[in-house]
Amino acid sequence: MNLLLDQYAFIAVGILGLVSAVILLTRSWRWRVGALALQYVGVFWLVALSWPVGLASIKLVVGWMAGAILGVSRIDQLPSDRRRWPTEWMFLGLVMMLVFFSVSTIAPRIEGWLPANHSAQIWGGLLLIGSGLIHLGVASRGLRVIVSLLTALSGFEILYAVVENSTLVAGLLATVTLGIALVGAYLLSNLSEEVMLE
Amino acid sequence: MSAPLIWIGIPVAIAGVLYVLRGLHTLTFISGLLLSSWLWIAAWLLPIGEAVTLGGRTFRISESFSILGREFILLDSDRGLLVLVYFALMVWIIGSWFARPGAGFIPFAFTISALLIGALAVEPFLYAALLIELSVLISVPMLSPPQQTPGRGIFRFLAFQTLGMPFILLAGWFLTGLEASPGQSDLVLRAGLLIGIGLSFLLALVPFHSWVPQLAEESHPYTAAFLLFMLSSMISIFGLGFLDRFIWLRESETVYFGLRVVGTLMLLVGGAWGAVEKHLGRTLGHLSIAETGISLLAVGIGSPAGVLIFFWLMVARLVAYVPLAAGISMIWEINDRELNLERLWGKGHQFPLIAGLVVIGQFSMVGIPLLVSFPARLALWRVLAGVAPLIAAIAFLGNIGLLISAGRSLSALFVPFSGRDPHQVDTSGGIFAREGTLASERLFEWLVYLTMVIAINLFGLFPQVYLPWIEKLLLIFERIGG
Repeated sequence: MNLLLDQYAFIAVGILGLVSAVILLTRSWRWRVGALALQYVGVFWLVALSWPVGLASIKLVVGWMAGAILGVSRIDQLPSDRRRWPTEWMFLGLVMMLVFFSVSTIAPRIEGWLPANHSAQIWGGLLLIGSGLIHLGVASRGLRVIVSLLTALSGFEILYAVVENSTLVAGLLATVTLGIALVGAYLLSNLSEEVMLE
Repeated sequence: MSAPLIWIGIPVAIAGVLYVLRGLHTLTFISGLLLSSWLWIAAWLLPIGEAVTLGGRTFRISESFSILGREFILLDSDRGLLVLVYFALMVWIIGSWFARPGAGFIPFAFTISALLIGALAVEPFLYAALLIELSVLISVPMLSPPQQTPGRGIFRFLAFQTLGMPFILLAGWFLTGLEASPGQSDLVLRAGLLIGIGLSFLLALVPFHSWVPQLAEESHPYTAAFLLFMLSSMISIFGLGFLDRFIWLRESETVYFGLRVVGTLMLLVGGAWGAVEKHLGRTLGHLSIAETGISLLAVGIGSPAGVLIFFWLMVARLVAYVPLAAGISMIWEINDRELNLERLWGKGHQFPLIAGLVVIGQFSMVGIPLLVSFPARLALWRVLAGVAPLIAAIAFLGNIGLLISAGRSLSALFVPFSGRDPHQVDTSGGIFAREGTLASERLFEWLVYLTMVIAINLFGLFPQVYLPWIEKLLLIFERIGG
């Protein structure tokens, strides 16, 4: 299993690149939460390169639970599709390309810092951190802030899994992920519709 | 029985019970007050790790508590910290009676205090970042209660605090590597950089400070003030732990120079924005930013005297900040949740006791003579001027900004020609009865306000009384504490 995951690890990076682009570009909450769920498949894949599959599956389960918590909060009462101006698409697309270029520049250097089993872990982790931070930069409140925080945090979790495989850390990070989702759902439940997707 | 169980486990359990009972306001208040008092008195009286005889029975409070292979350790030298935290909690609970920050305040305050102590007690210490993050997450419902639309401040608070955690965790890994092979300059640089960025996020250092005044404006002033006080104090102590633990940090002049520069910047930013601020709630935030700067300046002195001043300032801040936050909260309630200075024009004549408390609290935090912060600030400026005169001079400009801010509050609240009928002046102090109407328990109110004002004065006039106790806090840090 591990050999298989290792051999095709860059597929996980591709998945993460795709879902982080979807999370940034879409205005549909359904697509965003769906992409978040898929993102945790990639996170699980890359974490499993350093951790036992059983322990790594915590990331997948917790990520899906976080997505489910956000999905069943009040956002399901919102219209699923909202229009975006073409210029906005172009701008965000360019920003996403900038993230890809930055990651490709930084990743080889970071590989020297962290004892990663596979360079895909560094690429995947940095990609999520970069796209999460960019997303956080263009969001002020609402679902986007919470999703971007979860994205950046899951990128860090991939990098941190390389250096730390303690059960307590896994448990506490899982608690933090779930906590952010719960707090996010709580805050979203008090926001108006316009602000929620702001 | 172990010390972490008493001072971390029990408060969390108490918080759970108090949360269930939160509807019974008086019971929650009295229980919270008694239990927080018991916790700091117990920390004061009971030695950790030694045999104690109580009521004919001998027992020993052990120092550690293990969970999932990790340990929480509270040593006898940490008792000063426990006294400080639970004494502070007790004072904040007393203030909450007047400020009325909401039914959940006391249980949340217990949980946050216990988790932050846990963050300082956990080994390996890098787990602290996770516990700090948990306390941040728990504080969100307190800051943004149900039926209140959350603003940008709470989201920024959540984002910046969450972003701080990964840096500290990664720094912890690099530091472990450094312990195994000391002297690697590239590892030192990376670890130092990660600690710096992580603490900048957690302490809301410039440029990550924008959420502080926003949060103070959007949330109940008292809950925001409590959180700003607790988080900044405990994270500062956590940061001092890095200095104490690692010789390459402790003996680097660059680190102390950096602390002095960032501290000056914080004080300038807090002072400058405070001087032009038009919202009393946001002023609380600017004061908090400036206070973080002052603390950094104290640590930046780079000697045990600096660490002593750091703790002294913390105690002084507690004594001034609680009445200030309580006073602002009462004005907020009285004035239809409006704290814009233009809307507070002349309100001091209507509620002179509360307004007086706010003004005195604000001037105390600036360090005006005879008030609580004055001796600590005087000591800071004197020692700092000896170490870095230019930095001291520039930083003092920030303090002038805070003075202007306090002057503007005084001017707005007590403007002489506000067009109000002097016969409508209410000198009851404006304390609310249960149903929200003004109660006229003048004697009681006068006593409470006088106690607060006298405390501010007494702490300022007789620092020699409590300074020996503050010196005991230096025991927490065996190397930088001298």
